Amino acid sequence: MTTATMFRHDALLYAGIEEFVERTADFVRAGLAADEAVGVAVIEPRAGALRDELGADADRVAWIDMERVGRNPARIIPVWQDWTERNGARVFRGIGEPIWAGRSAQEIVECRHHEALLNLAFDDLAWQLLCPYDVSALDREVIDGVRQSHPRVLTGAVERDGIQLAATDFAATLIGPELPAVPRHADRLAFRSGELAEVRSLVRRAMADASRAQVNHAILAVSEIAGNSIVHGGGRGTVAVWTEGASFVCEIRDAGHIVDPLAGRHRPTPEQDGGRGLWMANQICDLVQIRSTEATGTTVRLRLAR
Amino acid sequence: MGVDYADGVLRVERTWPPPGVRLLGEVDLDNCAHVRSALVEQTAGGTGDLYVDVSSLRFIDVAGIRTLVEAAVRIQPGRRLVVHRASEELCVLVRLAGWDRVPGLVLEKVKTR
Repeated sequence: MTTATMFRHDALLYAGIEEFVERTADFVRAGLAADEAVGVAVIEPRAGALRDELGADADRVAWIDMERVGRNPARIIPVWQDWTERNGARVFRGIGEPIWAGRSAQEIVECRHHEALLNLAFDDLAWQLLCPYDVSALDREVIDGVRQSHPRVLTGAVERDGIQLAATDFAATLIGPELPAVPRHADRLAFRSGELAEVRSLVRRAMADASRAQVNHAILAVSEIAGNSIVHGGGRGTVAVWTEGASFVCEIRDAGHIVDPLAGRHRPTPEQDGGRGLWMANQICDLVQIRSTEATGTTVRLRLAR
Repeated sequence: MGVDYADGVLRVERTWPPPGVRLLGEVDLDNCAHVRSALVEQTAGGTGDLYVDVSSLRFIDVAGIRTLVEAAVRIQPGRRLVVHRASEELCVLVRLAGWDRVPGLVLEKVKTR
């Protein structure tokens, strides 16, 4: 393993926790030996197992709670960004596990989008990021998808080139895979400027049995996105709310077009005027799905535990 | 105390002394202009810190918080905008929005229990 001079984004296909520990511990130690900044964002039990294997070296690693941060995959890039900024001009080495067994189909769609966006967000930074995927626990289809977002795929003991892609091939868009249809029983409302309070009432009614804190989170996220429709989306929009198992889901549509694929992933600066709505929604919600094209306008679907 | 603005969603009251504004109900993008004008007038009409009582605030969005931030930034040096009786939730929102270190803006947390 060599020190990175540009962003290198490898997938590691492994089977079982022993192989995980062996491969990732070597990777971490090589980074520490080269005095690189090393960050690890994996979930339990893998975080604990790697920590044990590293022993005293574990204290030289920045540990990121992937279960909390990565619940909504759109929160991962800003956390990595904070970490690289804190470490100044060093060379970076990270392990990131956005996809784990038990993720829902829609979460996996957004995790893949996140993996593609990493290439865009860290294009000019000297760091190598290793993304471990457990072939013994994840679906075949998930593993196949890994090749679309990682220029190199490491399998077993063999380190071989995966599909080589130029950085421009990763240019992420917000076109994305189509979202599942809004259920027929969803409550819908058309709104325009001056009617945000009605949008909030709709959410309160739909979440009548949820906790106060959850309701407040939901109305803030929905209000911010609906506010975006008023400011950037032609002054009006439509909202649909429904529950899906243990989740509250809300979809806001308008005629606007979001151009920046990293929208909602930039930590706001105090001086910055707008651009906080999607950021806040990402921080609050368990999943935020954005689909936006000039022709079809913008759809934002928010999901929160009830 | 005078009522500055009231509709079914938001009520803005001017308080004195000390100079301030009391917000009741919900502040959002649609109605934050009323909060802004009350803050501007109370800032101009007094000296010392400006108090914003948010204990009866049921909801505030980012546009509403921005209104408070802008008033805090504009206030004369030596004066502060003190958000009085802020809930823990409001403090979290201000931090998430990246406004927790704005000079002139002070959040005084409500005492719980």
